[in-house]
Amino acid sequence: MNEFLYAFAIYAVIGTVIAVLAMRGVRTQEEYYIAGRRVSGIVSALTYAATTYSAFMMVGLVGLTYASGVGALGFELFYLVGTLFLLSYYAPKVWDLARERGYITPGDLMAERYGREVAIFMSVIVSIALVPYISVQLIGVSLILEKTSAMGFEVGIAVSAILIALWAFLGGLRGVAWTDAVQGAFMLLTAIAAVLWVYTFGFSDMNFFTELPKLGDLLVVPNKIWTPVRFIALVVPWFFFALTNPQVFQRLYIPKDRASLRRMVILFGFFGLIYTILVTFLGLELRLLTEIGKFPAVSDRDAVTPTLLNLIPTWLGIAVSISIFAAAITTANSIVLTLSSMLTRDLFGSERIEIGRTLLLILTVAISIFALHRPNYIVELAVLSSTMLLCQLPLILGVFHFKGGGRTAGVTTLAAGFTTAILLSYTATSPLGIPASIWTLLVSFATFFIISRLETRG
Amino acid sequence: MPEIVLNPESNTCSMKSLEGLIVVLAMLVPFIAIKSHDLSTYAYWSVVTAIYLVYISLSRW
Repeated sequence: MNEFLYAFAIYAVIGTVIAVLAMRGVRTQEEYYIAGRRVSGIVSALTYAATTYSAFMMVGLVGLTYASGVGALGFELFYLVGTLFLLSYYAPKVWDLARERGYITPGDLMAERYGREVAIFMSVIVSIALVPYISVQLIGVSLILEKTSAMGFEVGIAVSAILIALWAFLGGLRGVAWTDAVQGAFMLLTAIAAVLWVYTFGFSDMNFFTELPKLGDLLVVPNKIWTPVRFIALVVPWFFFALTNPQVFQRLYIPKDRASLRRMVILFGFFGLIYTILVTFLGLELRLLTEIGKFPAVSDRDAVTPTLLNLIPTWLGIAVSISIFAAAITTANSIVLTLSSMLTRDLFGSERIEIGRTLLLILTVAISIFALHRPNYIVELAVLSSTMLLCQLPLILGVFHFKGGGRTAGVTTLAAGFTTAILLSYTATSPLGIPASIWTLLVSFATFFIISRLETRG
Repeated sequence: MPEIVLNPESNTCSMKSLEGLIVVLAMLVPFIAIKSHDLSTYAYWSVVTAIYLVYISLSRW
């Protein structure tokens, strides 16, 4: 425990020093929220990756692969190819527009195209969608810290909240991006170390590939868990993640030139592919070790990684625990900073970074309170976040492919899609057997096209 | 409100849609065609993603 706290203190000090160094020259919103559009390709790629890949990877995805097999890899790689596909087409267009017209938030683009009311509504919707999502991240890492006896749950929440707010408060996006870059590299290295350790020590007296058929249907899709409907329901919201999640959309504004933007997307792709392969391979290794009696059978899939942390050497356990913590922090502070920018500029129409910093603190406190109280609906809301955000997709695509549509189409599309996502989740229904994510997309697009047509005629 | 006017680039858009369709169909192949109890599905998905990543890296945006 003491070793963990020493390592954690070093981690916190390094991050804080980086954030302090990033403070210099931060006087405008452009500097604070998008680092003055002067970020290199490598740092852009690492912050994009660290923002995208949360604690879900080393905890949720390891457990999901352990419980459900290779379908988990397919689900995650579907997200990655979707992101590469969308970014290779839209990223240069978004980057050009943002630079030419001085956009700072995703809402700036919406406000210019559809009217300010749409940007206001969007800032409210993304806050509702993402605040519970961040809270669940904090709950997850704090529970892991508690299980590994590193620190109590409440202390874990408090420490997470302080680091989230501090690094973003001090250095804005530059602080977040620089700390993300260091943490992203650390996340990748610890995943490599964990996979190699389990492979070396778990399969020292047997051949992994010879034993592999013992996993049976976990090696194919569809299986009992990965039915086609379930796969589609999970894949659809994540396929469009790059366009619908404001914290990654805003990162398209930050590369210093076109070459850096391209480098960002490509390097992010390599990071994502390697990290996903490592994490899912770890899940398969652990499941195979369970089948041959060398790793405890774990019924709760979110407990797989914590179980591993108690079995591996202390140094590796500490490194993996900090990498999980880092993954949660990098995602959370990026989201908090983006939400702060959207609430400041889009909702309140303010140009002052002091307002943004205050809102950042308020958001962090709200997230911490959510996490500490753990209301029953919080997990449902967090799971629903990516589906809720789908209601923005017609508006984002409409900017590039559709001339019609204005204020009314924008507001009604967001309202209809968001309501559909909430209602179907609340009633736990899938009309005609179609998942909520697909319904949300269908209703959003139908509303957008119908109201746009009526608006044009009017 | 100033209007955002973008070049529709209809040919680029339809080519990109075709590319998207091919990628999605390629990623769905294991649901139909790979049934062996080894790392075939795992390797297939990894290789398809890697090939697409290399394609994105080499192609003109």
